[in-house]
Amino acid sequence: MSIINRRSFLKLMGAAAPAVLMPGVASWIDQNLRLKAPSKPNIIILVFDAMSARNLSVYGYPRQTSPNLERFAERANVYHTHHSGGNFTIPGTASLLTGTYPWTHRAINHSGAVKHDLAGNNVFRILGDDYHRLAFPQNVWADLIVSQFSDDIDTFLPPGTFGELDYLLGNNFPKDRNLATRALDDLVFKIGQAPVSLILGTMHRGFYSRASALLDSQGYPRGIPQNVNYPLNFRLENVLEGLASLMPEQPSPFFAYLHLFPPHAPYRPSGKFNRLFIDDEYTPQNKPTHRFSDQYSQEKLNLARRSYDQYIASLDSEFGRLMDSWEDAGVFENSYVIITSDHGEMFERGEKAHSSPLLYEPVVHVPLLISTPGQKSRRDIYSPTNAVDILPTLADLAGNPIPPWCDGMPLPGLGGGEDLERGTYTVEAQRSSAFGSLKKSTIALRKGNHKLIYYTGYEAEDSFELYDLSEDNEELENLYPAKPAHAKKMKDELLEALFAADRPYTK
Amino acid sequence: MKLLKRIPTLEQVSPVYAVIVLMISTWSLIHFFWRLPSLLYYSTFGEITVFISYLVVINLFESILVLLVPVLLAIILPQKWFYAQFVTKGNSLVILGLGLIMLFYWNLIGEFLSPWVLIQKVLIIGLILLVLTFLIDKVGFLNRSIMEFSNRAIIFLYVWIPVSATSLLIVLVRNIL
Repeated sequence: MSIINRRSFLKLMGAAAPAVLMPGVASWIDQNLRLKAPSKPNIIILVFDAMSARNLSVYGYPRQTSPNLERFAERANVYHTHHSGGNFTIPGTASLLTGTYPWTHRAINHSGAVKHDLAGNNVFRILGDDYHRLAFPQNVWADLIVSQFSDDIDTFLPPGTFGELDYLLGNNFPKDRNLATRALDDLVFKIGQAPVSLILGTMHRGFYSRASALLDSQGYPRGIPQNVNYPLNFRLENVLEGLASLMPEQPSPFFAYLHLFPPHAPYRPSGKFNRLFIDDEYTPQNKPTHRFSDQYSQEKLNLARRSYDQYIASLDSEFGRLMDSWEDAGVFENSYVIITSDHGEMFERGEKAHSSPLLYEPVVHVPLLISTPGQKSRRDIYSPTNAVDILPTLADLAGNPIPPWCDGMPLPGLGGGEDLERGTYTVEAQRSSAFGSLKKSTIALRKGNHKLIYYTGYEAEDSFELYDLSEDNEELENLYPAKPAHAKKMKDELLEALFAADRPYTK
Repeated sequence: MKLLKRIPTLEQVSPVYAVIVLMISTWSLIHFFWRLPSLLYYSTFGEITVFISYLVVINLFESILVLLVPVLLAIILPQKWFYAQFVTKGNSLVILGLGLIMLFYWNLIGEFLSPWVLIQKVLIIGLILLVLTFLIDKVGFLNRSIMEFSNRAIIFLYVWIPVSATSLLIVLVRNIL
């Protein structure tokens, strides 16, 4: 596919006139043509960590949290039933980048990793050398996954890039980055717990703590945003400005995976958004406390939800500036721009955030908006889709074959067809071994309007919940006992898929 | 040249270094084993070996760093004050100093309170430690116990030195090749 946008065309015409008189200019035009008119489209994936579709006004949330995403949606494909592969960064990111479910790639634990013999099955390798491949995992957990694929990445920007403070130590070991980060930043010097290294650990956190105390927090009443559990601080505006200037500099065709840490907790909106939604009339629905939750009071959950919404609004404002900048630079004319998240966030049923066995919609329903090159109008797509569909879609867009090991399929509107009855999975198994069958796990199967949730290993007996999301969008009425035939059909499908995934690990 | 003569001999340094290594390694291993069950969920034997290698190399550097404190005191303080009883005074200082940091963290486990507070007060704490070091030296029973303990701890160095050399080699190879 050859793309020459209006801007490139005008530049070429301007240069073509003197080329008739000056032979040297002709070769410049030839070179420029190859640079500016790639045979393959540029692709940008922008991941906002822990961004639930349920808290975005672009998906109908009553609070106006995302006016700029709404603006973006007017020129994009909007996927209304998109789900993450996992419920926290490690499995969610791995599913997105490998096109496989967590029960396949096995990055299922906190700080876990993609199974070594599968690490070559990643989107960077699938796109191949034709692309200049860039990765910026600002979230350290995403970095633990992305750096496994470093052999297939041309430009790697470590998490501290565009940041205010960076006390990560793994960066100093470029040849052994993944294991050095795991050993040093995630084990020996990890903050938030007693350091494994007594003296240097004390000095490291002392210096970081001092530097962060001296950091100018102007504009952020709750402090400069930071990576939780890791010594990294950043300003939203600086990170997004960095990305604004970064993309136009990339050689075409390029693939950029930009995984931003916000709006992940701690929620630290900028001053303008610090008191947003305080006096609004929105009251979240009160839902019964779940037996697997941390039993937070509704009042605490509502407060946390408001902070989260404020942080999203703050981030969205900066995203608006990024969008304008990319618009001016012509990025949208020759690039697919994909906006999504690795997992969501919940503030209901006594549970806060996302790392629990609960896979309700706020945790698994994530945004997916894709602007195709030059797209000017909005298209709404309601078929169930999943993070595992990103890799086959990109392979297809780049003109490469879809790998057979992939669990996903091309997205509707981008090579794939709409299939409202398709089944997709989200897998939570953080308390299971990556080297064994999933003994303690929650699995959600979304199929058509229904969603089946399966809890195994948490109690003496396994349990199921079934919801009809067309009638009960808030997942309040468990239909499992009331619809036995439908429940059995979905249960059989889920257990069969789980059995097949577990087969290599069962003796 | 007079200063060089005040550098403690290998016989003097070994028991002090052995106690440092013992304390630092014990702390590290306890905390490492707390994390081990979760590491076993997703790490291979080879990866765990690499984690331990990084940990041991860090311990090696910090044990040398800690050893420098009594060595420097032996050099700068009058000979009668420290150098003459290097093993007992050095060990007292190390046990008290490292013990205090351990106690600090033991009470703060799971929390992220600024150790900068500790670092800011290091002069006062250091002074108190020095006084205690000199007082311990006056108690015969404690004096003898420290001598016996540190001499027995030397055997630990026979394990520590090859392990740390191997770990250093592993880290170097992974980062050079």
